[in-house]
Amino acid sequence: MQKLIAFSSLILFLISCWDFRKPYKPPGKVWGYKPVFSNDSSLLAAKALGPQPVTHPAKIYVKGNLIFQNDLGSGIHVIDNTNPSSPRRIGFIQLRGNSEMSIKGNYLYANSFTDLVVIDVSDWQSPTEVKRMRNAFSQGYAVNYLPFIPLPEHNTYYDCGYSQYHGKIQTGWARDSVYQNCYYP
Amino acid sequence: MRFRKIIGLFCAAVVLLPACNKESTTADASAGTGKGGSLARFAISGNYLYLADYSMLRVFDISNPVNTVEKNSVPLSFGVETIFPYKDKLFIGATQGMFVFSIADPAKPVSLGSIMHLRSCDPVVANDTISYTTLQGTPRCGPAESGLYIYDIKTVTTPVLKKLLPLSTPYGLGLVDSVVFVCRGDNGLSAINVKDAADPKIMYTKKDGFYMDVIPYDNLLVCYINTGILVYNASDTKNILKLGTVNY
Repeated sequence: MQKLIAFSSLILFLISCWDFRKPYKPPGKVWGYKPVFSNDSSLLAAKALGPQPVTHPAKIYVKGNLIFQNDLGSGIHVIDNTNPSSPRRIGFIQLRGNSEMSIKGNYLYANSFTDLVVIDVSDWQSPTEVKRMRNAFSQGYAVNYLPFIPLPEHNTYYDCGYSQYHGKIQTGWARDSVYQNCYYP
Repeated sequence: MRFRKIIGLFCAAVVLLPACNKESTTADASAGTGKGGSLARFAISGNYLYLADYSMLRVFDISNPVNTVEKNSVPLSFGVETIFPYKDKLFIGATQGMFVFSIADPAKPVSLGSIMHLRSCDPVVANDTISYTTLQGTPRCGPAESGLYIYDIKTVTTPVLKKLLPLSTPYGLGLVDSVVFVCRGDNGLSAINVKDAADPKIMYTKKDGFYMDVIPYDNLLVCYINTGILVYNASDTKNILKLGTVNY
């Protein structure tokens, strides 16, 4: 009897060392979208668009009768608050990789990915980028994970984190097999 | 009675005059600096732009905007999130504490003092003697108790916690005279009377959206909510009035 208990205990003890979890598998590749890049750095420059739909609303800023709001990764919405009872959208400054802003006089200071950009806004209808300082703001990396260009379809995986890669600028998406690193709901 | 009327008229004039001014400045909106929310990482003071980078305070001379130059960078503790300029000081909110810098020499920020707290998310606003921080303890932010933390900064080298007012889900905040407005997501926008900093009192909580951040300026509160921008008239902080919204 004692021998049997000792033997069973030994077996149980040995079994306890066995790893019952499923063996580790790296995340597989699935169908999704990968970014398409261009080397044309002029695509980065700030430019004015008419009022745009809001996709990733973020920080706010006020100056005079204008309210500004970042759209994470894509630019800055401009809202006219001359009549606070009915504020209205009057424009959008497209600035890729944007998440922060501040204004003094006729100049807007904002980030474009990790670059600090100075934009002359004396005419809101035609903002002009007058200075770009490379890698002056490392926190701009955070916005890289957001799709600057909307994906062609919802409920899909996409290759994220590379909207600006080694100086190249994303211009679109291509269907491809990608790692399951980001999901577009 | 007559005297009261005159006082009444005078008050009305005081309230209305800035409004008139505001109309007349429409054409000349170019002068001066704007105002950011409490969650901002960029701040301009005088001819200098300060960036609260992850573990670095970066200083840029913008006296000639087209020739903006980086003047300095001061190492900070990790997890810097927000920057609030007030007079000759910068208040920096980090996940581990609040840091106060002197910018008496604007190109060379000098650390004056700091107060550490449990890891959390934490925008700051301040006046001459008191600074207000909301800390949010969440799985992402850290384990601190959520609430409005009121620090005595009369001796700025050693800020002292005067009072903690527990509040659920605090985000950005704004200060108007002796009232702190705290954005609390879908728990509303709470107006807190801080006339006695040791005994803050919630006066009321507005629930017109999911509040993220607020900028008080020109008798207005500009709020960033989950459905758009919401503007209140805050000339009477005891009773703010919803003026308009612009939706996403």
